[in-house]
Amino acid sequence: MRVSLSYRLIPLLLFALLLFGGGAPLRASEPALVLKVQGLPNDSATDPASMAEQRVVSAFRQRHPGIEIRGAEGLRVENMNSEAMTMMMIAGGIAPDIIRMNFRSSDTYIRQGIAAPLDAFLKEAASAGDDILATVPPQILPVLRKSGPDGVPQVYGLPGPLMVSSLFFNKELFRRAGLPARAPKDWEELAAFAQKIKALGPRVHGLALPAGASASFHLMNFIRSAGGDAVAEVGLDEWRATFNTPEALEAYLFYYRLVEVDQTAWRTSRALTPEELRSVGMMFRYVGDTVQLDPELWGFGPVPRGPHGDGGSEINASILAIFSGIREPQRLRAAWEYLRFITSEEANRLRIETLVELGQASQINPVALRKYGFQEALMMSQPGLEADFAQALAEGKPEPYGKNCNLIYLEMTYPLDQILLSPRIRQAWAAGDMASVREQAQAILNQAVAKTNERMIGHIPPETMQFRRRVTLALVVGIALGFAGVALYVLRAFTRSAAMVPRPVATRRSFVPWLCLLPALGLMLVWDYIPLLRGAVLALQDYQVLRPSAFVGLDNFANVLFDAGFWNSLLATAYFAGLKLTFGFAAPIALAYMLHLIPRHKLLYRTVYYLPAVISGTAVYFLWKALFDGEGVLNQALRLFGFEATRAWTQDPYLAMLSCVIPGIWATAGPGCLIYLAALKTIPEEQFEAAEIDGAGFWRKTISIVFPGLKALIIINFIGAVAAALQTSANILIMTGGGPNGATTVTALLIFTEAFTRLRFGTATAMAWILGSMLLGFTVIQLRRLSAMEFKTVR
Amino acid sequence: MFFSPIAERSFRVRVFYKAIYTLLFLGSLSMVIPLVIMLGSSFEPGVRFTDSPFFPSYLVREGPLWKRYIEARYKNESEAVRMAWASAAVELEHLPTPAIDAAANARWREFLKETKPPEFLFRAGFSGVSAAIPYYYNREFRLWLRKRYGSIGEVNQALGTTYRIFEAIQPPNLTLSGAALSHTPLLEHYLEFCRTEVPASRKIAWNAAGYYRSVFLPRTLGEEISAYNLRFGTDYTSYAEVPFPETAPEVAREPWLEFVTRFLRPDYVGLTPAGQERLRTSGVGQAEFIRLLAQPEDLRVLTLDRQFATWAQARHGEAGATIPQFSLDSEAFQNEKGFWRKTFLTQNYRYVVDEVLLHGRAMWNTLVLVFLKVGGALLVNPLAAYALSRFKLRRTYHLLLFFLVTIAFPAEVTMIPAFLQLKDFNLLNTFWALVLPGLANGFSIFLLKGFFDSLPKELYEAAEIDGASEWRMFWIITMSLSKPILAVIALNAFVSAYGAFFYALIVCPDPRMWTIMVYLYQLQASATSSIVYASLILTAIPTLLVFILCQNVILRGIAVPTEK
Repeated sequence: MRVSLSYRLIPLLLFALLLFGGGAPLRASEPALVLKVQGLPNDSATDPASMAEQRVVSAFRQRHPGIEIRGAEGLRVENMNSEAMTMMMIAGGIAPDIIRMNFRSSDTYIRQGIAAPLDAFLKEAASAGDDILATVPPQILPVLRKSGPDGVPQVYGLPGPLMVSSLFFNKELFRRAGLPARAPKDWEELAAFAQKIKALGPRVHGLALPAGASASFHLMNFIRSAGGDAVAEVGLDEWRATFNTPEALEAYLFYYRLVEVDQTAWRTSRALTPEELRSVGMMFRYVGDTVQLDPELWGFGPVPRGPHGDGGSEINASILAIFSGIREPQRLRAAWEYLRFITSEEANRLRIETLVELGQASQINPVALRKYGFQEALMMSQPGLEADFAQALAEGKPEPYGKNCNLIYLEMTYPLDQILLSPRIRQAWAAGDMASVREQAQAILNQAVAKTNERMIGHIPPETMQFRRRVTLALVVGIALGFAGVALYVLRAFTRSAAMVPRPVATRRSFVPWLCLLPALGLMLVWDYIPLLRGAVLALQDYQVLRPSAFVGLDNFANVLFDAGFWNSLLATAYFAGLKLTFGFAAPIALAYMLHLIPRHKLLYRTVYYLPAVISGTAVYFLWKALFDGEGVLNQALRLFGFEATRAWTQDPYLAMLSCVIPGIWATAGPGCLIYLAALKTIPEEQFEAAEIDGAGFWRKTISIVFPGLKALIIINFIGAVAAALQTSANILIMTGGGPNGATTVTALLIFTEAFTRLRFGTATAMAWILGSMLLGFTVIQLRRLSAMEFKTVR
Repeated sequence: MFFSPIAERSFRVRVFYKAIYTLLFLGSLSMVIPLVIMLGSSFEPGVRFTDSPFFPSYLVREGPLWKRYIEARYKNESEAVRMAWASAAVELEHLPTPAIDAAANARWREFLKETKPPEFLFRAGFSGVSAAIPYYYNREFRLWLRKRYGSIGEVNQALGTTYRIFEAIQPPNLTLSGAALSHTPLLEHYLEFCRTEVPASRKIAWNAAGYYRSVFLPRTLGEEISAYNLRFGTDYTSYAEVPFPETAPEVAREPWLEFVTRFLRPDYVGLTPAGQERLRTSGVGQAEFIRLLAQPEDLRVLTLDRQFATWAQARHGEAGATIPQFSLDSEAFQNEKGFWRKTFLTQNYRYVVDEVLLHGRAMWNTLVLVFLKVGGALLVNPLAAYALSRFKLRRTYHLLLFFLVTIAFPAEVTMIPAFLQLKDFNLLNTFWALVLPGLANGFSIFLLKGFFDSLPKELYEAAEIDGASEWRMFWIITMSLSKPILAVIALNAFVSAYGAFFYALIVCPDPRMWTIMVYLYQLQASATSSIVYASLILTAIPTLLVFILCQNVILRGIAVPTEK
């Protein structure tokens, strides 16, 4: 007995050992000064841009042998942008020491207190005769100098090499189409060129534009060249969205024309393959970081001018900043040294020198070539390009950098998708009724701007806010009362059912049961109940990752309740749950019934339907995503039957939700039917025989015998299925990322993105509580049913 | 029997059965077809051709194999084929069928044997920088480095690099015209690897003339030869006939000059005596001299095809001989069909093994996680259920309620605070974070309690009389009599631990803690769908094994609720 006991203890010991031991190696301390740097090129990368960066980094290493520079690349999650990943790294406690932010995200980083202020270092450098800010182009200064969390304006980052948005053109296609070897000068020329290129063949596209959640990134070029902008600063640190101005409207409509009317622009959410690149006439990219395009094939010019002669070139750069979480002065100093060097003129010169040596001169901004003295490389670039770029740089504007502008492209894409998909605009355009087109589009834009002002910039008139707070208070009090009532009800239901059940056998030692209960009770307390309470507190806070959070009362709830996006997500959730329950819930029941009925081949069919289960959980969605792809098997099959299907199912507004539901049905019908099969076996055969004698047919037997036999199971499972359907988020993130145009953004996914990509834990938790309170009714029924049931295994 | 034996034979019932069988059959097709597509496509080595999603056609037919062979040999670039074959028209989608010109091949070999051209004029086929396709010699190169240096640390020492894992090593980037972007130890090693490890039949000669004729001229002057003829007053019928002379020609001098000074790698360009003289007085390096200062008369082309043409003229009196790369490829293809079939068949799987299974600590992490999760679920929940079932506690039903109420809240409500709590406890990036939350499951406890309640009480009474301890009774009686339901709970724990990637990604963003599924997720963001399919199949194997092993136990363990 002793022996067998210790045998049983072995797994326990192993368990404890692994739990402690498994985590231990990660706690090993690192050498004193390892700087984790974001955006460091991969060592194995051999593309020119990476090689230039590698050279800059190794120059730094030579100069500071005591500092080890290491890349801090974390995870990639599809359908999630790079800022979100940085946020997750910070939230996840593996923040890099040197953060790379772009213009639109800089405000968020600064406001959240993630970037450390640099004024002290700058002052020190200036007193040593090194006026760093003097070398920064004047347009960029306001991006760097912001009021931080403490409200004092300071410089929070330094820019890397400048980039200018430009239009690239495919020299080969331009030549074949008989076009001049230069980028189009203005919109009309762009449209005309695109048409000529499209005429070359069925799979040739005039202009490639990105699709997906940030599609408006390239629309921005048109808005700027029409003379508009995405946001404007109306007061000190006060921003308003402005993409509903007449200029912006023009840009949206020009985009519409290229995509839907001329059909010369091709939208895709993937990176283009080399073969696809060869069939694309033009595309927008930045010049300045090398573009990895074959300079023999691609030329470039500034963004074409708009109808009023405005230039649309946007200036951008990576901003490097120091993570504010660094505590040790030594590390802070090292980070500063790195930051200083990597953004210095010396480093820029080194980069350009490397690129010129690698034969990439024709892809470097000609203005920069001259600045760093590569005159002979300049001879190779197109005539006139330098003058064009000098002007583009002079009149170029930085990427939107106002409050929460990291979301600006998301916000501008909603109306873009709406306009592109609107049947009324399509009809009006076809009828040539441009006044109506404008009116419709303007309405969409006005609505979107109002939403953006509220959601992104957080501008809500005070009286509106007052009203919202009152409504919310009433609602929350109602919910709380509901909760209390429900809690009492459940408690009573259980106590009543407890009275009916015989007590278990008595026993001698009273501490033993508590010892047995301790692990489960403890775990549940710590990982369910305490988080529940913390969540309730969190929902009342404006949660800050790195700084103390302030209580904001019910504002989070108010913001959520008056956010159309939240209600839309509830609609999407209802739609998703509807589809899932109609098809996904019924499928295993029907399957089990059929398997139960058939006299032969039961085992064969059961096995076949069970097969998909071997592909574990989420992997099912990877498989189906590949099948649903534009060039995937399903579309190929449709083409065989004569349907012209080119769009991926997951990008189609009508099919997207269905494509999120189908994989689940496919994977769970087989495993799900087993329990129904078992339940069907418990129905005594005599009942069928008796019914037969009474002359009952198939339906009669189904309704009178089979259904009552399965009822308990169906109800239990249905409630479980409802709860599960309302909580699905990861699968949808994989399939569609919530798009197109938010069509598949269910509430659970919205909560996820709100929390982990926007780091707004407060509103996210508020959403979760509202969703939870809606679910409560269901779960109460479930609990009550459970209290009146017992489970038996079928042999 | 649902129908009586007599009714079974009636027409209506038979039609009814037929309908059910038809439905079941159609349904099972929809179950199986995606799996078959997945399996069939997982053997596709390239990205370009998908002529049969159900079965790798190159296994039985030569045409598809040839296409894939050339696609892999020329790293999926039509232009590389055009350059090597000096044929302006060829596209990977429309390849000529293989044809061997034995005499030309023999002459080429004779030339190689006699003149022994420098090794850098050749490169390995089946190799190239690509995130999408795992080329054969990329992997061989890594294995060669591993064999030579043993550990990645040694490799870094020798190459002056900072790789963390062997999989990150890619061959150096070589441009189409053969130039390496920079001379690094990596390039030196790669050239040595090509010299010693790659057989001649799998090498490709840098055919500068081929590039000039089939890529450079059509691109700069116009795709049709007429553009060239019109401009220079010639009457060639295709670009293949355009000469690529050693020194600057009288006719068509500008494109020759542009090509030699701007596109050819400097190793290929020599100087005439006049050019040598001018270089001496210019005071710049040779490369810069060629690029910027040289006069047309100063330059001489030293490319391999040029040497071959000169040699063939002198030796066999044959004018205008070109490298018979197409014929050489055809011959190599005929000789090595079996090898490439095998390689293409296993290529994606080898890649997945390297990138997912053997990546970092993926296997170990997965193993530990599954063990902890299954072990934990099988310990914590039965213990609690045992206490509730066996002992008379005043608050039994309140305790049960305590466990069950947590089902009422959507996971999202606790997700964020639980994440922040993990962060506060400093548990992110540890196994604790993966295992502890959700280990105690109210529904499991409820299920187990119901099951334990149904066990005969006499057993416990007898054991008590024998003086057995509680611990022993728990194991010997309760646990060993509840195997089916425990198997179900264990299986659920296994599936959720093995398949979870999303939660794992959030609470363990550190790559050192990633499990197989997290790597799989990272892989599918960049890899071709064939590789994704291969990875899905490989990762399904453990699940399949567990299912097969547990199947019978599970089918008995299904708990059906009935109303009391």
